[in-house]
Amino acid sequence: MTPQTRPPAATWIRRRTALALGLAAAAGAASSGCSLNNPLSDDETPAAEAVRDLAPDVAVAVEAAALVRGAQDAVARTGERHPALATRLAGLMATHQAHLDAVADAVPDGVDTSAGAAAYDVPARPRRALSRLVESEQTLHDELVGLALRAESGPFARLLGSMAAAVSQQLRGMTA
Amino acid sequence: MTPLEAQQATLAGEHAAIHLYGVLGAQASESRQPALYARLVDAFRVHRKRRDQLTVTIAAAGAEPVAAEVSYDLPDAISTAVELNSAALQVERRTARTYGQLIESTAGAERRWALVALDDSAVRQLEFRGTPEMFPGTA
Repeated sequence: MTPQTRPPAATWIRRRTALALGLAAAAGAASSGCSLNNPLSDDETPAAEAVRDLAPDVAVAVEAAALVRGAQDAVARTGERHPALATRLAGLMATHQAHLDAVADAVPDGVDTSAGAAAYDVPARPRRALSRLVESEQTLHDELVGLALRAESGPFARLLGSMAAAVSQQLRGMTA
Repeated sequence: MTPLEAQQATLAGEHAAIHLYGVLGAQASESRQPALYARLVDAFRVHRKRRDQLTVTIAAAGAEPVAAEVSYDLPDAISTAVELNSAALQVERRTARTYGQLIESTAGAERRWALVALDDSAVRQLEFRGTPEMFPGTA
């Protein structure tokens, strides 16, 4: 399914506005040489410690970016292995990219949102591959709702809730 | 906007949605347009339930829930299936924006409730011939 419109999010989630409280902490972590990578990995790594030191909403944004990037990777791998599904998944792919852009735009400079998720194995049969992708997207939706509840910034919570709703729309198209 | 102000605004939006769905349901033919009629009736029931939940929540907070208007502006044309779908889609888009604002203005259980409502409204848009959006409930 093709998304209807390009995001207006950038007009209301202004850079350094929604997550402005994280700016000082992020700058400090960046200047200390920490790589602000995957907060979902080993808690003992310098990167994970750096994320813990960030303002709460910046850490939420980093987690959201990692989740969406992982979902985007799953969609891409599924489309590569099953080209017949690629057209059907184009809207989902574009939606994930728009969400990644919005989240990256909301965090202060110096915060690395490029972390991805674990490798995604695509089932050999197209129907099973699509079914697995639906499960993956449902998990992403639930995680985004959880992050929206954690967010301290109201506008950022709205963005995350909107992203979850967009995933629900795509899921409806995938299962119809 | 305070949480209470956002809840009152959402309640006002639900009053309007219920009114409009009542009119749209009356315009649809149950025998000739059974699927559309069923979608309109289902939407009416969902919005009525949400209105009741909001009324209880606002009253429990010690405030006076905003009352419904006597009447609301109706779309110019609501005769054909296309027109009915279009009108219902506009209702859901406005509802989604209202719930987006409620998410923004609340926290905890109230935000969770708003998130569920936004999700439902976004998916319901597709039932009325809407197409997926990148950021439902934001514009």
